[in-house]
Amino acid sequence: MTEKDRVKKVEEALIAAHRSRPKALPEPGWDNRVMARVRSEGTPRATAQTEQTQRFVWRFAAAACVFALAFSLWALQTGINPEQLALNLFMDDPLALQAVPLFAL
Amino acid sequence: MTARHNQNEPGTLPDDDIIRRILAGYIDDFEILLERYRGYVFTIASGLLPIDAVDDLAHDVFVEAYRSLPKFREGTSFKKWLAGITIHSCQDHWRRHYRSLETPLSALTDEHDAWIDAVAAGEASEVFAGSERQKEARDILQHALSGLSVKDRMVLTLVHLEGLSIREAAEALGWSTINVKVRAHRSREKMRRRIAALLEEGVTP
Repeated sequence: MTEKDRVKKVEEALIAAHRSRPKALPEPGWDNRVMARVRSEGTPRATAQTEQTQRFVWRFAAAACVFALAFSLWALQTGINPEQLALNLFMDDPLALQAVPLFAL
Repeated sequence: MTARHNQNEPGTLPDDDIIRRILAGYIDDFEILLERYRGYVFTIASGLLPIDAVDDLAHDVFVEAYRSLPKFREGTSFKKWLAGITIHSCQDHWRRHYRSLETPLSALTDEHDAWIDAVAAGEASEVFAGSERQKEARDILQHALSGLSVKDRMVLTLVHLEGLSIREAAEALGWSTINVKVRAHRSREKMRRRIAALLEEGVTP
């Protein structure tokens, strides 16, 4: 018997063992537990409203991406440096009078 | 069947009508769906998860299905939709508890070793006589599945262990048939390599 045959035999036996394994059954009171949880959730309409809100928000996702891309391109063309702007803001130095000599920008 | 009759006996209504009633506020009608498909969900989950995890998972599946009822498309099969939720929940369970599902080689004993040798030598019928022997087989299977990714494990279980067709597994998982076919083949090869290693090296040092 080759190695391949031996592996195949073990594999078949493992599959047979898997298929004959005992099936789980609901414990007593399982249905009541599920229904109690379901009742505490209320009607699923609230979820539907959330879905509608999500659908509404996602409708603008493409437009937001296009805007972000266009803004990035514009920023690149006009030479805006967001890091420097942030530093100026942080140092309360809108004209960059201190930031430029301090950090050799 | 008249509308009045249906109103009096919601238990006889088709799934779509029951779902419509639940969404209209008849929450208790969900119990009808629970009774209809409880066994089905338990059967699917029993094939995919350790037996002690099935009860809680089935509970979560029905709660999730209830929350998602507004997303259910009328005219499609509720049974298939529920099967999809069950399978995805099992996948999530494996992701969360992956470590605990692994069976290290050190967990296998001389009895497991004897089982492998006996089966490989063609003594399957005698070996399977007792339930203890089946437990050993399941431990070895868990070890053979250790090391597979969650997705590979899922596909292998559905296609090779549960016996679903590639198309059925693809539908249940929401993947392409090519993806399922490739993963099923690859994961089976991995499992065979682990079985070959057990045969060659044994389980005890």
